[in-house]
Amino acid sequence: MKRNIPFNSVKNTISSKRLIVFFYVVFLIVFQGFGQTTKSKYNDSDIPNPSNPARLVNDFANLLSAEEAQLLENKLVAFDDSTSNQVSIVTVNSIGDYAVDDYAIRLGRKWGIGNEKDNGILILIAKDEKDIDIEVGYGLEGYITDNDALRLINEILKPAFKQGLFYDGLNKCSDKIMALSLGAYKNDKKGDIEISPFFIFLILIIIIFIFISFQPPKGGRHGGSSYDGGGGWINYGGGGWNSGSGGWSGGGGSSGGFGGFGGGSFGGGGASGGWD
Amino acid sequence: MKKWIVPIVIVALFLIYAVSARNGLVNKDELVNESWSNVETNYQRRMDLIGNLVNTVKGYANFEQETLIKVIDARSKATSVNIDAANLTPETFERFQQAQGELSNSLSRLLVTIEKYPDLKANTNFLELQNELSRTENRILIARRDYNATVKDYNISVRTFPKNLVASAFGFQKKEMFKSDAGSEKAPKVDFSK
Repeated sequence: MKRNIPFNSVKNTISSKRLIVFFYVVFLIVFQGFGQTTKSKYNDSDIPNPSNPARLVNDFANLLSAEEAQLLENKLVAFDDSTSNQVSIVTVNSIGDYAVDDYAIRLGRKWGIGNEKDNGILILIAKDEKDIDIEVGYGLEGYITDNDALRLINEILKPAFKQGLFYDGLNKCSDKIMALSLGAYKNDKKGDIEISPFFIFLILIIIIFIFISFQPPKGGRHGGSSYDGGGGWINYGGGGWNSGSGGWSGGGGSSGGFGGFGGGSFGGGGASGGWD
Repeated sequence: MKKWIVPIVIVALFLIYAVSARNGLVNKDELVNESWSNVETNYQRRMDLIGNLVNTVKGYANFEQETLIKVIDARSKATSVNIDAANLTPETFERFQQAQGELSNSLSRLLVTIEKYPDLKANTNFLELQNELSRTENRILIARRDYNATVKDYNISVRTFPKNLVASAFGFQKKEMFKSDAGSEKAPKVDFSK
């Protein structure tokens, strides 16, 4: 009996609305804590980071002059704009203990070269090891086969590199790659940008709906006050969304530059070889 | 009046959670199936390439028959071990890995033997096959890595509280991963250029 009295009184002071809010919060915490997965994608620390702002031509080993790198960059950015295929050229001084293909795959995946069709191509040049590797993203394997890549290395890159003509080789090689992958995809980026903020907004609305529909049918006063709470949610969500879209238009403002890597993935297709 | 609302809310929340957790598991299960089929496709691809390689090598007069026959045997054995993603028990998984491992071994012996035939090594047809084969080893390695990553993600969901309650209620079980045999983190080198 003695125990029951305080219990009942506590129960009476907590309104059912508060209980619902409490459970809702618990529910959210459970969702957040256990819903998140530990994504251990390849984040190898000995692979260099992409330059900031991102570029398609990254001449870390200084094999190209600044003008040559810019010429290649302009050509490849234009190709990305029209086809969404991202052809990236990366030169490094050394790849350490990695096999050249392993290094290239890790770099390509880390940077996310290619767009959502996994249509990226990476040409990796390791200066000290005199190694060349071409990695072809999943989405282009049908257009540039392993043997196409092998021929690009043996017939274009190797002969040019032996004479020290890095720009020449890379220029011809990228032309050939562009010709081979031309018909694969079109750039229809614009449609996708709107989706994610809208989706978040939609989820917020659904949550608010659930929130409101759990109110006890009686007690109009309670319902009113919780609706105010709902209004706060909408404002908060809307603010976040607006600032998000501001960020996008800011990115688009610097037109002509490279828009960034699109998160493409690589499955191991391509070829490699040395030019010694 | 208010007494019944609390249990109802609790039950409703639990149901919503259970449904979404189950959907999440189905999703992850599908991802595992997808990555498994990618693993199989690439092993199959290797099998086809080995078939081509055997045919190319066969054409060479007085090529050592013994190593060749071993590859052919291991290949046909590996072909017969096919597993459906829904049927990935530890035993079948073990059998699959073993058959493919044997094929890898006999293949690398064949490739060592080829070292002794310089005109075969210079043959363009052979060089292209060699490139495709080494790339396919890469593909297999990546497919296995990706498969393990999706299985790990799935297994974590199946085994951590409170999703494990939902998982066991709907019969989601822990899945097998590839155990990396010594040296398999790097793709075997199929390279004659050095």
